Formats: sequence, C-alpha cells, structure tokens
Amino acid sequence: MNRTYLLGLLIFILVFAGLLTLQAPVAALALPPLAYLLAAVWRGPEAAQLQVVRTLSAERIQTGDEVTITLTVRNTGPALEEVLFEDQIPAGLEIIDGSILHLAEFPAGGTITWSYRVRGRRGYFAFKRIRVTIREHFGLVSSERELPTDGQLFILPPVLRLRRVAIQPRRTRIFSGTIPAHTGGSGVEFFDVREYQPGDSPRWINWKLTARHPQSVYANQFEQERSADVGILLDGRHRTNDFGRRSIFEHSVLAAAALADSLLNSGNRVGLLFYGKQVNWTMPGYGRMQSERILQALARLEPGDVQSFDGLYIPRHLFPFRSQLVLVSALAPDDYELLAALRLSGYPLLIISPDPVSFELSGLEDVAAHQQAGRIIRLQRQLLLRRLRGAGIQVVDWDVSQPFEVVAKRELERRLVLPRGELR
Amino acid sequence: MTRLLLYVCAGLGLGFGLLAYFTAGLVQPGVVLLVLGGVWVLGLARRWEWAASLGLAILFGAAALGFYLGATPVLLVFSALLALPAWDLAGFIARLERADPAADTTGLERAHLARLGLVSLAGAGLTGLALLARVRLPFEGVVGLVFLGIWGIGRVVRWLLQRSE
Repeated sequence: MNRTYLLGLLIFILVFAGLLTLQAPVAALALPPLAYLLAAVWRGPEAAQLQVVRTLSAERIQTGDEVTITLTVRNTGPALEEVLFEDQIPAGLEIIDGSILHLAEFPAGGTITWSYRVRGRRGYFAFKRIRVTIREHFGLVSSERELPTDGQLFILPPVLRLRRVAIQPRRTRIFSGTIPAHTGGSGVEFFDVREYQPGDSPRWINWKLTARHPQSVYANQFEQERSADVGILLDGRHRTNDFGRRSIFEHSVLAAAALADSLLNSGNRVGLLFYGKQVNWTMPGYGRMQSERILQALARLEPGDVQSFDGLYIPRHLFPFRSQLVLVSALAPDDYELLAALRLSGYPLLIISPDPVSFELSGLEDVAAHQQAGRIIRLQRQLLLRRLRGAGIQVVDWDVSQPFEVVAKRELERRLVLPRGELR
Repeated sequence: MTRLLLYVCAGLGLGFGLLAYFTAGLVQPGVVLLVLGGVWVLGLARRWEWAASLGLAILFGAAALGFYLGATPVLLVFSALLALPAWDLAGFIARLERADPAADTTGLERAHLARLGLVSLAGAGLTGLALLARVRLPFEGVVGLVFLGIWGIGRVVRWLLQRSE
C-alpha cells in the first residue's frame, strides 16, 4: 500500500475511533503520524536541475569482455534530500560488478559519480536515459523523471584467425592479391611456358625446354595473383537457425566474421548481405575499415523472418557478375533450386553450412526416437549437400561441436583442384 | 546503525505495549499482541515488505484499544510513538538496500535520522500536550473540529499524492 495512503488512513481511523468511543487520547494518537505527514509537506522535493554525463571504458569490445560504465551527475538546482538514480540499460547486458541503482543526498552544485561493470552477448547497445526519483527524507513525496544520456556499445563477435581461405572466383580485380587469376605473369605458382620476350628475367628461362627445342628460347610464366570481389551472404532465417530455445545462428556469425577477416586480409573486396529479421547490406570495401564495418554489422544482426520473402533471397544485382559468393547457412531443403540457379548463372559459390542436425540432436535426450529421427534428417541433409556439390558448389559441412578454425584449416586452406569444366 | 535502531524501536514499542497490557491485567489481549508483534519482528528480520505496515497498524491499534480497555496510558503512547520510527526506518532501509551496496550513504542516513528524531519529538510533544490539556468543548464543537481536521488531513494526503505523480 502507498505509504501516504496508509498514514492518512491511520489518522482517519484514530480520529474516528476517538470520536466514536469518546476517548480523546485515542484521537490524540493521530498527532505523531500527522506531524510526520506535515514534515513531508514542509520539505517536499523541489524542481531538480540535473545534468548527466555517461562514459564507457570502451565502446567496442569482444564477446566476453567487460566494460566499465561511469555516470556523473551534476546538480545545478537546489539541494535534494534523497535521490535514487536508476540507469536504464538495454536488455542483453549483464551487470558484473556495482549497481545501476545509486541512492544519495545531493547538495546544490554537487557532483555524484558512480560506476558499474557489464558484459553481454553479441549486439549493439544504445544507452539513452537514466531514471531519477527524487524524494524527501520520509519518502512520502516523490517525483520521477528521465534524463537523456548518450552512449553506445558494440559487442562484436569473436574473430577467429584463418590463415587462408582458398576461393576461385571466375573474375578477379586488377589489384594484386592472393587469388590465382588464371593468367600468366609475375607470381609464385608455375602457370605456362612461352617464348622468351625482351624484358623477361633471364631467371625465368626454361633451360630444359630450350635444350629440346633449340630453334627458340622459352621462358616460364607464373600465375598472377590478384584480389577479387567476394560477397558473404549470412542466412539468418528463423527456420534454418532456431531450434526451440537454442539457435545455431551464433555459429554462423562466428564463421562469417572469420571469413570476412581472412578474405579482407588477403586484399579482397568484401561485402556482407544479411538475410534474417531484416535485410542488411554492407557495401563492399577493402581493408581494416571494411573489417570494422562488417564486424559492427554482424554485432547488430538478429535471426528472424522478413515477411516479404518465404525462401532464401539473394539479390544478384548487389554482386558483380562472376564474383565469388560465400553463403553461411544451415540450409533448408528447398534452397537447392535457388543456389543451383545462382551457380549456373556464373557465380562461384562456397557454402559454409553449420550442421543443424547434430546441433539439434546435441540438445535432445538420447532416446531411440530422437536417434531415428536424426538419422532420417541427416540422410535428407546429406542428399541436399550431394546435390549441391553435384551442381558445382563447394560445400563445407561444419559440425559445430568442432572449432571452426579446425574445419576451415582442413577444408578451406587447400586450393580446390577440380576439372575445369566442372567447377568453372 | 540504522538497522539496529529499527530493531530497538520495534522491540521497545512492542515491549511498552505488552507492559501496558500485562500490568493492567489484560492477559488475553496481551497474548494476542505478543503473537502479532512476534510476526511483525520476524517479518522485519526476514525483510518481508508488508511487515513494517503491519507493525504500524498493530501498535497503533493496540494503543487505541488499550486506552479503551484501561491499560496504562503513558506506556501505550510510548508504544505508538516508537511504532512510527520503526515503520519509517524499515522503509528507509529497504530503499538503501535496493541501491548500490558499495555506495557511502552515511550522510544520507545521518540526515534521515536527524529529521526522524525531530519529527518523533514533535509528535511526542504534541501527544503529551493533547493528553494533558483539558479543554471543555460542546459535542457539536468537537464534531465540527473533527470534520475540519479530517477535511484538512484529506487535503494534505491528496496534495502529497498529487506531488508524487
């Protein structure tokens, strides 16, 4: 019950009881609570003038890291007897040390500073306001208000360091990189032999071939290595990511972050398309700034469904023709048609597929019915992956109980050797 | 310090009430008060939110009933006077505990206790004065005064609630 109501009710009852029983002392008992009530009226809180400044020890941290949030409030108005500050922190942050609540008396012109530490899951968190409750000492009169503050925090996904991601786009850019360009020139790997031309280094002369064909001098050619356009597509559809209370999406984000980092480090131009709760497009770019842009985009993403599209949606106009596409998706059985069509239209496609079957089974009871269902679904998935591979799509089936860097080292670091007609 | 003071107020308030009843030979109501008071003190120790309000109602109710039944008036007044700070301190401690436990609230506590002490003294003085003063008023005058008082208190409560919104 409200304290003021309770006190008022008590006074009324005592006065009435005194009148009914004709006992003046009973009515006199109402005087102490009345004095208490009047004291609250006398010293009720005045209009406050407060200024809040929020500082964060870091605005960009990795998942698992902690950040210290410090709030400094300055009172530019009259003295306040009792002030309760309550910081409004976004959902998803966990308080490790300290408190978002701070109770204090606040003299005129005074400053109050307090800190607390938080950590949280991957995401973007905006701090917008702090709630202030001002009371007189007895807490009978209170006024609440919200003060605006600034502050934002990116909790980025962890970035696994992959040594190399072997991709084979059909088209490369003019800048040097690490992607074999299928044209002769300066490089490391042997590519072809042609007649020696003025300007060629004497060290490139193929002496064995020249000895067999003495009418001419032959020189080795090396395969040029260039950068490429890479589009990373991250599938955040509810149906392919969420299994009851568990979600495989965080694994997909982890893989996308690692791939983006590695591909950018290799000098490629990388863009990110997310398809889930919203369609989010990070324009292609190079280097560290682009890596930061992609990580910040990944921090914001949440799985879900866009109402406009039922199946997987890949807007081709966003990706240069024949550029490399990397799809990170747990895959749904009906995705085959779209992916095969994409491949046939000239886009080399690499799919990193976190295995939803083993992921879901690991969260279920180990009973015969689940095992049987698991076997059936696994067969369906294997069939889908085989069909995709048959369509010339490189697929990495990732059992998420294994670290991604181990799988990536095994499956992605080697250059894929396939007959030209099949993959290209 | 504040919590200790809460228990002192609660213990003394209950003790004075019990003493008033038992010295007047009112054993049955005294036992009921003992049981209810025990629940109140237990509630305070366990930090049950409703315990403070229950204690306020119990001690003021016991004091009013005690006057009617002829228990020792001075002890009853002391009992009621101590119930009010106990109720206030329970609320204040709850507010302190909700906030950052690491924060230094010594100044706040000191100021609160000073204000509470002053108001308790004023309440005690007013009650004492009311009990000692003998003013003869006609019944109509008393009723009129009571209704005027009720109207005034109603206005104060309404004003306080409006300020809180």
